Amino acid sequence: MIAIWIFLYLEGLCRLLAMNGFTIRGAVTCLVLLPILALFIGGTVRRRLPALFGANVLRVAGTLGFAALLLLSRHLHLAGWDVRDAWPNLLVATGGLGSFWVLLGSAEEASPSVGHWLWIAFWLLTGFMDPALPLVGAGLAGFLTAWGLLPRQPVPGGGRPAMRQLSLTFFLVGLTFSKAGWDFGPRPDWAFAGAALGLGAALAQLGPLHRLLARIPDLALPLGIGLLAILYTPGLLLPWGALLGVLVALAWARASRPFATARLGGALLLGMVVSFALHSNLGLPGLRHLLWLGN
Amino acid sequence: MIPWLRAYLLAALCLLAVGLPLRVREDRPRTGHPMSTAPGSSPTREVTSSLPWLLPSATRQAWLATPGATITWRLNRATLHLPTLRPLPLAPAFRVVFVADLAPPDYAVILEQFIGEMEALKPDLVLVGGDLTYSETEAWYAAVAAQFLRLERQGIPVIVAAGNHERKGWPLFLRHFGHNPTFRVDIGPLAVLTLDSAHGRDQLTPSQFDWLRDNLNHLEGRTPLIQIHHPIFPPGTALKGEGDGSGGSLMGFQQAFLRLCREHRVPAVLSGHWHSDAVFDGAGQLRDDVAEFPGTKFIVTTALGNELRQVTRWPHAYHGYRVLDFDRGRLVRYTYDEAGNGQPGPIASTPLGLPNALVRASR
Repeated sequence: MIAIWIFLYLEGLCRLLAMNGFTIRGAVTCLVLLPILALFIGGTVRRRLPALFGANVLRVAGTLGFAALLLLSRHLHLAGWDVRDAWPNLLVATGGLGSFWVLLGSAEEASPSVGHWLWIAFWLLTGFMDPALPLVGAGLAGFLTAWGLLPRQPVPGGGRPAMRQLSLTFFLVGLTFSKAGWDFGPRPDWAFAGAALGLGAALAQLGPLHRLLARIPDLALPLGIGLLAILYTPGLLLPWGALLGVLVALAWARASRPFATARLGGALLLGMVVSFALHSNLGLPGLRHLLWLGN
Repeated sequence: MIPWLRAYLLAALCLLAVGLPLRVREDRPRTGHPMSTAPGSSPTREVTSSLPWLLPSATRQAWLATPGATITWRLNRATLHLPTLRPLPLAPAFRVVFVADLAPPDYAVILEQFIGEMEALKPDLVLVGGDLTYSETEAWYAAVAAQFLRLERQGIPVIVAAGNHERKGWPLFLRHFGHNPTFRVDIGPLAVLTLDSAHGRDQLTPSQFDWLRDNLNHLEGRTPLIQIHHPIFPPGTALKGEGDGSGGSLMGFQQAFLRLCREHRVPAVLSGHWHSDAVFDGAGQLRDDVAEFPGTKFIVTTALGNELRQVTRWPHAYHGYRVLDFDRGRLVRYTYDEAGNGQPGPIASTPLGLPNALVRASR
C-alpha cells in the first residue's frame, strides 16, 4: 500500500501540480499541501492517538478518500486543473488524507508483491487517458485495504538487513522518475514510462530473476538509478522505465522494516522537487548537458 | 488471485464512472489550432474521448460520413484521417503575419486594432508566437480567443504557440487553445511547426526535439516555418539593454536545433519574448546590416501590445508585428521597408498602424 500511495498519489499529485502550474495563492491552494504535511506528521499522530486508527475509522477514511479521488478525476477529466478552484483542491486533499490515513492505520507489510507492482503499472498507464486517473488507483487501493479486500504481504522474519543508502536512493528515484513527465509535459506519453516501471518492478519479483537480482550490491542501486537520470531518452522510453522499475523494486525490497514512510517518502518527494528545479534552470553552467542526453 | 480480479473489476468500474456519459474534447480543429489545408496534405481531426476506443455516436457518425475517412486510436486519443487533398497548383504569393507578446487587458484596444488591421491586410495566415494574455483570468482568455475566432471566421487561419506567461494560467491556455502545444499545420506552401519552448523554462525537451526532427524529415516538398516563443540566440555581443530581464534564449537542444535548421534549409524561425526586434544568422550574429543573407533567419519580433524593451543594439522600439511574404514557398520579404524606397531594410518589423503602402503592396 505504501508503494501504491507514493507512486500513484504522491507522484501523481506532484505531476498534476507541475503540469498545471501550482503557486500558493491563498488558503484554497494550500489545501493540496495537506496530504504532503500528513506524510511527515502522520506517524506521530498515529503513535499519540491510536484510537483514531481503529478499523471502523479506517473504513470511513478509506471510503471517503476513494470517493473524493473518484470525484476529482471525474471533475478534471478532459478539462485540466485550475488550482485556484476550491472544489478540486478540497477533493484532492480529502482523497490524499483518507488514503494516507488507511496506510498509517494498516499493519506493516513486506515489500510490494508482483500484484502490487502490476496495480501501479495499470494505474500509471491510465495516466495516458488523464493525468488525474492514477490518483483513483491510490484511492481505490486505500478503500480495498480498509475493508480488508486488497491482498497483503506479511513482513517475513529474518530478512537481509536494510541497505545503507536508502534515503539517497529514494531521492534519486524521485529525481529520475519525474524526467519523463518533464520531457513530455502536457503530452500523455509519460504514462508509458510509468507503466513500464510497474512492469519492470513486477518482473524483478519473479522467481529466478529475483534470485539473480538479489546478488546486485546495494551501492549499484543508487548508482544505476542516478545513471538512468542522465541516460534518459524518449526513444528508449519503455526499456528505460522497465530498468528503473527493476532497480526501484530492489531498493524497496531492501528498505528497513517498518518502512520509514516519512523519511523515504520525503526523500522521494524532495527528489521530484529538485528534479523540477534543475530541469527549469538549464541556464546554470554545465547543467543542460547533464540533464538531457544529447543537449 | 480472486482478490486481485475483484480489485481490477472495481478498477474497470471506476474508469466507467469517470468516463460516462461518453464525451469528447476537441483537440483539432479549434481556435488557434487549425486543420491542414495545403493541397496534397492529409488533414486530420483529433479528439480525446472520455473512454478508450469509444466515441459518442454523434461524433462517430459525423466523422464517418466523409467518404474515405478512417479513424485511428491511441487508447482514448482518436484521429480522423480525411482523404488527402488533391494536389493543386499553388498561388505564387503567400503572406504570413507573426505576432507575439500581445496586449494585457488594460490595453485591449491594441488587440482590437491588430485584429482590425488583419481584417484589412487579409494575410493567408496569422501566427501568434506566445505570451497571449498577461492575465490569468477566464474572461480575458475568452476575450483573446474570441478575437482570434473573428479572424478564423473570415478565412484567416490562426496558429497559436505557448509562451512563458501561458504557464501562469496553463489550464486556461489549454482550455482555450488546445491541449497539444506542439503541432504541425500544412497550409499553402508551408509546413508550420509550432513548438513550446516554455515547457520547463527557455528550453526544448528531448521528445519535442525528436518530434521536430521527424517532421523536418517528412516535409513532402513543403517549406518549413518554425515558431517558438523564445529566441534561439542570446544577444551576445549585440547586447545593449535588458539581457537579463526578457533577454532569455533557448537553452535546450540549441545546437542540435541549429543543425536541423541548416540541414533542412529552414528559411525562418520566428520568436518573440524580448519585446524587441532582432534578426540573427546561423552563427548567432545580429544582422543589422542587411536583410538578405544566406541560411536560416532567426527572427525576433517586437511586442504587439506589452511594454517595449531594448535588448540588442538595434535602436528602434515600437509596437508591431512581422509580415513575411513567400513567393512559391521562398521567403522573399520579412522586414518593414522603413525608408519607403522599395529596398527591404534589416530587422524592422511592421509598426502597428498598418501602413497604407503595405496594404497596397503587390504580393
